[in-house]
Amino acid sequence: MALIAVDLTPMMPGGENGGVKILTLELLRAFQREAEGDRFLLLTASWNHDELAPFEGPGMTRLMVMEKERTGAAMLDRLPGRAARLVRRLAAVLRRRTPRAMAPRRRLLSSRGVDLLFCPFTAPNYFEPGIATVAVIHDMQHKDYPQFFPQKEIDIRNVFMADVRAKASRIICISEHVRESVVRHLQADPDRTHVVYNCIQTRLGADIPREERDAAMADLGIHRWPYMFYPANFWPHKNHRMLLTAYGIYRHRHPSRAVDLVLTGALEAEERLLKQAVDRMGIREQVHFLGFLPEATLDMVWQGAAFLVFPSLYEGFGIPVLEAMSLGKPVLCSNVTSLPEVAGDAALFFDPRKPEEMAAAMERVAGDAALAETLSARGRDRADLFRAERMVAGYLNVFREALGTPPAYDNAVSGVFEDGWTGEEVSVTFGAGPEEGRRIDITLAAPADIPGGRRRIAAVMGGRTLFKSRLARGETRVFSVPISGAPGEIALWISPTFQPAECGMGPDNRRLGLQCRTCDLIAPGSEKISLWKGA
Amino acid sequence: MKIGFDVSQTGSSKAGCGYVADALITALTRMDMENTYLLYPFFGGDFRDPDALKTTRQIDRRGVRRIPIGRSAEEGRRFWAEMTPDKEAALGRPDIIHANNFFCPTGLSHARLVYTLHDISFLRHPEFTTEENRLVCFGGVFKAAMHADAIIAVSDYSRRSFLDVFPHYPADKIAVVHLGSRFTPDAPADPPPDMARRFRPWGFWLSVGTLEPRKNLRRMLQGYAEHQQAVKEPLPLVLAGGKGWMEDDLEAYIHQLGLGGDVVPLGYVSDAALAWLYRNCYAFVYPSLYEGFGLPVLEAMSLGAAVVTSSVTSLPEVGGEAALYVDPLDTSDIARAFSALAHDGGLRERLKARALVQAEKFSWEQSAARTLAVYRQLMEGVRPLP
Repeated sequence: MALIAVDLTPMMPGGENGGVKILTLELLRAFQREAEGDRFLLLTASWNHDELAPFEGPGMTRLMVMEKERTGAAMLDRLPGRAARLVRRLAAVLRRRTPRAMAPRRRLLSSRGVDLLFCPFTAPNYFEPGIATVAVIHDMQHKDYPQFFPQKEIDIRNVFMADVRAKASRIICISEHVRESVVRHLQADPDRTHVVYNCIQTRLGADIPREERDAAMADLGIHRWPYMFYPANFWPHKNHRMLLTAYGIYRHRHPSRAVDLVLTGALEAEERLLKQAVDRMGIREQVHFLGFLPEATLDMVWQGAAFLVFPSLYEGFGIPVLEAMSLGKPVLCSNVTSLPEVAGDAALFFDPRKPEEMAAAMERVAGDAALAETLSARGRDRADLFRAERMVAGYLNVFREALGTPPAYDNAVSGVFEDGWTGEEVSVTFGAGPEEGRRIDITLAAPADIPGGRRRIAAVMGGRTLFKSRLARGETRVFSVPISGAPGEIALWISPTFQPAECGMGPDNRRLGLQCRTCDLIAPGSEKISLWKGA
Repeated sequence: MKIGFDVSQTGSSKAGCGYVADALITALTRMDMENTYLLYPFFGGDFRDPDALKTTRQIDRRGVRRIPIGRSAEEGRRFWAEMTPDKEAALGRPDIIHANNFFCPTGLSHARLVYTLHDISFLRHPEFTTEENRLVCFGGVFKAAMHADAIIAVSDYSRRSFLDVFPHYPADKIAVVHLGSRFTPDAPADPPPDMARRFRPWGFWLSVGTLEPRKNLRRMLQGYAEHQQAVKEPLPLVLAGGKGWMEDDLEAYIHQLGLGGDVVPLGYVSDAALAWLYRNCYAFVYPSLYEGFGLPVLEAMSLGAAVVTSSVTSLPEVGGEAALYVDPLDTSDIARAFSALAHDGGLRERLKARALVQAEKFSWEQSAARTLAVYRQLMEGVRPLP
């Protein structure tokens, strides 16, 4: 019997969160069905509170903890979709609030008797010391494909990944591929990381009457099926340009027999480029861009597919592969990252960097009914390994383990970018140590040229305000905070914060507080531990 | 007509593509006094040369102007991301933009786009390059396949390969213009003293190229090692070429093969040194796995070197009847070529004589004239509707 808070604040309407949202909703449904005895408190935001209403019921209640912000919106509108998605995921790290307004947040969970905080969207925004925290890491793409991210986004991801490492009692990775990456890049303790595979979606596979389907397909502009299908947003790692190149080769080789290509997903700029390409390639009639689809329509589009083609360069898991397998659709997919692990022997693999190899795979599966049948049968068998009960049992197991061991925190400081700038919140975690004489020394500086006046700083530990202070521009000061022997966290809130880009100070649109010069953990009889050495 | 030309890679540490751009713009501006040339030391958001302003090709002639736009990485990315009429005006409102280093501008409304296609190795052997480099190359070639008004392929092999992958592209809009050698056999040839001190004329094997997996250095070294075991006094093997990628442990590999004393990596060498090496090597060995053209083969031949090269991709197109061909995947075949040349002085002499004849079929003047013909044809034609 535990009360589990689920941080859903980063969940956006529509398809912006990609597979992460699908997984999260699936988990909630499964928790409702399978998690006997546990109760769930869904932490929502104004933009998703209503969407989550259907989950309300015995054992599951909603609590709105965040409202739409005025300041952030303008910035988010200017970012490309993918960046916005991640920044929104981080909204809580970046948001602007006064220390007074922030302080009660540190008692949000403990005052309600929450035993465990579960963060399916990774960032442990609602962390409270003493409450077990379990975070899910879906991918480490910013380490393997940094070129697909603006530098700022990499900085932000590094900051919150470090935060996860420092605070999470357990980290759930959605594949062995991700787990290896987490251990390698984050140097996370392997014993605190676990692999729990995603599960088959219960959202698909409805019976749709034929006339209804035909009418709806016509509405979508699809008049011929089956077709090959690729459901993915137009993010660079999804490799759509290579897919079109391969499709062009395939089409050219089989001008009359080739099946069409259906794409879902959205991202304006890239979609424009792809549509232009399709025009130039003379395959406008054969390639269908359906945009983001509601679930029922998506289900239907799946049913009209001959097979899945999945040329992604990077996946943490690859949910569409599972969807295809469960629906008995043959899978053609990349032989990289998590995909071989997920698809096993039930797919025809290709190198996603070789268009001719990809085209040959299309040719084979489209032209060889026996092969398609074999892949379909193997897929159905394999799908069985990814039943929802397995996934829920995996998650609940990790929750139990996290609840059964006292929280252990890294000695670490988070909320500081690599160049020493803090966001509006700095969090210092520390492990157990001697009861007497321990302290944290943190040196903060307010550069003389920052916009705005004095900075206010509030420090909170375990829901208790330690001190409030002010720092004038041009001033540098060491703040020294005594701590007990127990593991815990000190949070510092800084206000006001600013975005250099909005103040005419260059392209940097991070929200910044102060410069963190040093941060040390000092204990009697041992060397000081430097948590931050400055940029 | 006003011709905008990418010279961004012609700086001091240029490799293949940079040499091509450098030689071509030099020949074009020497031959064509009628048209205006606008040189862009920054072109596209990737492959940035921080010293571009100082070291890229400058041509002091009436009707040639340099237009440096996008000096900072940030500015470069923003400027070149998508063209607008304003940006074309800032570029000097060229009638033609000739992109020649993978990056392909899009959204041009006035200028017609000419795109030099070097090769598509990254689509057939992605393992030969870094992922970062592969993405840049593919991004450029993909956009060119959609937007280029004319494509200039450096070999018929590259042209055919491109059409295999992009069969929609009109075959009549893709011309083959071979490259030339920047060396001439009759140029004065004072041996640079450091080279002459280190190596005896005709006393060493030579291989040239950026150190990267595509150049097949490891199999060449194995072949060399195999050959070496069978001879009493083997000649050393000199490697001239700057550090590339994915071959960082090449020196360790050389030692592992026990070739520490016989293989001499020189790193990036000057043109004068390179010319001396080509002229004085016993033979030039270049068993590359994939080339769009294979400029080192032509350069070696233009200075009368006996050439061993691969029988694959564009290389037979360049080497003609004048090279000794090997299967680049077969180390014994490579070893046999070393041995055949070492033991048969007559073979070496025949190859040297044929090399000079073959090299005469190529020249930068000829390449420039053909390139100019592509420009003219494009300007005479009606611009196709977008």
